[in-house]
Amino acid sequence: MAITLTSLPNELLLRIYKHIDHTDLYSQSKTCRTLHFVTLHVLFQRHWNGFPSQKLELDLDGPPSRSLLRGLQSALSLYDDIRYISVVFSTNVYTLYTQILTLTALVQRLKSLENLQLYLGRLQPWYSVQDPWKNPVIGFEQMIVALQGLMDTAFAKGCTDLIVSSGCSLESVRRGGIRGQLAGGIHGLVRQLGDMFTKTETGRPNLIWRGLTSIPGFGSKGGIVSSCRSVCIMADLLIHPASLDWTLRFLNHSHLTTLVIRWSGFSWEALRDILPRIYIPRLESFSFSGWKATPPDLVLFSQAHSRTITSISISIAYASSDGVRWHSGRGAKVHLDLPKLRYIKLSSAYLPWFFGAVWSNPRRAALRTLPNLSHVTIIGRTWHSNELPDLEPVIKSIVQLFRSGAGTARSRPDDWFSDLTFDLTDMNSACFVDWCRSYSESQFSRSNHTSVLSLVKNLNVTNFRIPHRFKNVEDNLFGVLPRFCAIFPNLRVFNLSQIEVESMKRRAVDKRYWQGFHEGCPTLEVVKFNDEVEMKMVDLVKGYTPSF
Amino acid sequence: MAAPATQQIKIRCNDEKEFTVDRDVLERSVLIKNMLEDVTEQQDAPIPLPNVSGPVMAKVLEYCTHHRGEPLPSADTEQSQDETRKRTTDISEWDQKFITVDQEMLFEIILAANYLDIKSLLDVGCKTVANMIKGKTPEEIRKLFNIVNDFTPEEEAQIKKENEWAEDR
Repeated sequence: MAITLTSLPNELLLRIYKHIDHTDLYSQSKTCRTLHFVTLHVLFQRHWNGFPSQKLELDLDGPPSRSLLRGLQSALSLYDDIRYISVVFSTNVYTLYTQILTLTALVQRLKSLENLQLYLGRLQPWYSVQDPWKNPVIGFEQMIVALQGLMDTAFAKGCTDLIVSSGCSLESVRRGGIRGQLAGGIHGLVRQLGDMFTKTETGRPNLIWRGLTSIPGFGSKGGIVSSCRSVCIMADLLIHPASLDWTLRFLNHSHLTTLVIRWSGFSWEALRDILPRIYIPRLESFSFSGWKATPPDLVLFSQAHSRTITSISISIAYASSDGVRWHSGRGAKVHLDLPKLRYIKLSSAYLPWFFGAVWSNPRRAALRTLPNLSHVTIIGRTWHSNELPDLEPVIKSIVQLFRSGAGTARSRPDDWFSDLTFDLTDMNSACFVDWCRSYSESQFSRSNHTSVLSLVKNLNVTNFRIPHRFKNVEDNLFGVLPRFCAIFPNLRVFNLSQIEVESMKRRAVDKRYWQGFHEGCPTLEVVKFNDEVEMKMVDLVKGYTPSF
Repeated sequence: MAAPATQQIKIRCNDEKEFTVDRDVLERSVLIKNMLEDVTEQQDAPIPLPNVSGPVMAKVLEYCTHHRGEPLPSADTEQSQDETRKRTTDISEWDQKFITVDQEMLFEIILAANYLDIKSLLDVGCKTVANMIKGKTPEEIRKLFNIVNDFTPEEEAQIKKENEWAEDR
């Protein structure tokens, strides 16, 4: 039998395709089935270096997303053992529609699927209704049918954890328009899902699937209620009494270990009433993110789940001032005591509240309030450009915590509070630079707080974005970093991630810069850039250039 | 273990054709090199190569003879080459002339190079195919490589649509 291109083994085709670029790859993909999938695989690999075999996370909300999804197609055809898919969809309605259809086809090809997370975009009322790309109008019925199709497929593949979240609020439904309609549709869909939960419990399975027909295995397994392990809820949806009712029923009887709650500015008041009514017996990890919140509610929620909780993430832009009153009054009696907690990720607005509640606990002397805490991430969230996150109260709390426990027989684990991360996702980067400067120049660094700062061994700065107006901010950052790192006496690893590579390249070759860095922070051993390139300090000082 | 430079090795292809070749020429093939290292005493029996035919082996040996004595690329250098010169398809003049063969022979050589584990020859082969593909329309590629279009009309329409959507980056 004559050998042809198509009869070559895939590994050799991949070798050949290494040498050709996108345009030619697309031509290849149109020739026949075999080549179609192999070329797509190559396209995919060019976007991702390496591919985790079972977990796939995609952010499709951005310009390059279109070809990424194509690559995904090939990835799934070659890696059919994927079990977890998490997708952030486009906020463009037309693209969203296409993406849902494509994803459905992809899921169809998988052997089985356990966990599907769908983030349906921030469908807020202030988005323009007019589609800038002049794409055909997608009605919300169409969108809902597509979504149902996707869920059907996922359930058919044995999906047990389904997470649907969207930023739609009732406000956007009221305002109408395409996005409003879509939001309303999603709202309706989630309510339909809610009906399913409700009816599963009343044991009338033949009524459950109206609107979501043919979901094999769904009823027999006892439905999502008993098998779901993690859920993401848009609290905006909870304003509606019907949604709230089923959600609470679902949450309070579930085997959930992970809970994610997001809410917009409109509904935080409602959330406040809801939170105390939620108790999830096995909850290990929860994440709140929203525009505004009253801190006490979150503290109370944390404490209610103190026996199981290992990970907390709270990201809010504003801590409402109601908390002040609470803190000196009723709240003074509430103490945080989280024996299993390992990870906390807190926005700057919430830091003082959290540690305030820890500090108020009289048991702090036994150091049992947070005995396992080892990873702290601080998220900069500032809506006003001149608002700085305030680390000082936190550090003070920790110092006090540490001091009070230092004399007890029970010694701290070595990795306690070893990881400190500044996540600057939503923050004006210029603020961070100012903040670093003020800390490194203040007496703070030379004061007795050093005992806590010395615990930090790994310092991470991530998502540093340069505002267009401030191109020099980047230089300022690099200027201030050596002094900032120097306030951590035992720092070993410094990790800069999600940061412009160009600016790093310029710095990375500057031997004198790193020598200065080294003098200020002699314990620093390793500098990591974007989680990819890892350089030893001794090499940087000698002027070795990292290969980016 | 340094073998005498003149040591001759016999190999036998799948069509019973036998070759007697200098050991250092054969050692361009990592597969054979490893085999020879495993065998300590001198053996007269030819090494069987069931996946390669005589005419193809002759071509491969021509390549190995020309490149004898050149350092073997290690796994590391290949890795870094992949990164730095990703989409280059430069082939040296001699190699180019050498690889100017009909398509079937070309694929046979690629398969043989892969089986025998001769990295540089495999690269020459793959680059040659890549060069053949470059700048051609799907129809031209089908004609050139005798590929049967096995898409259904629906699939083709779908792909066309998807590609419109995919290409406008």
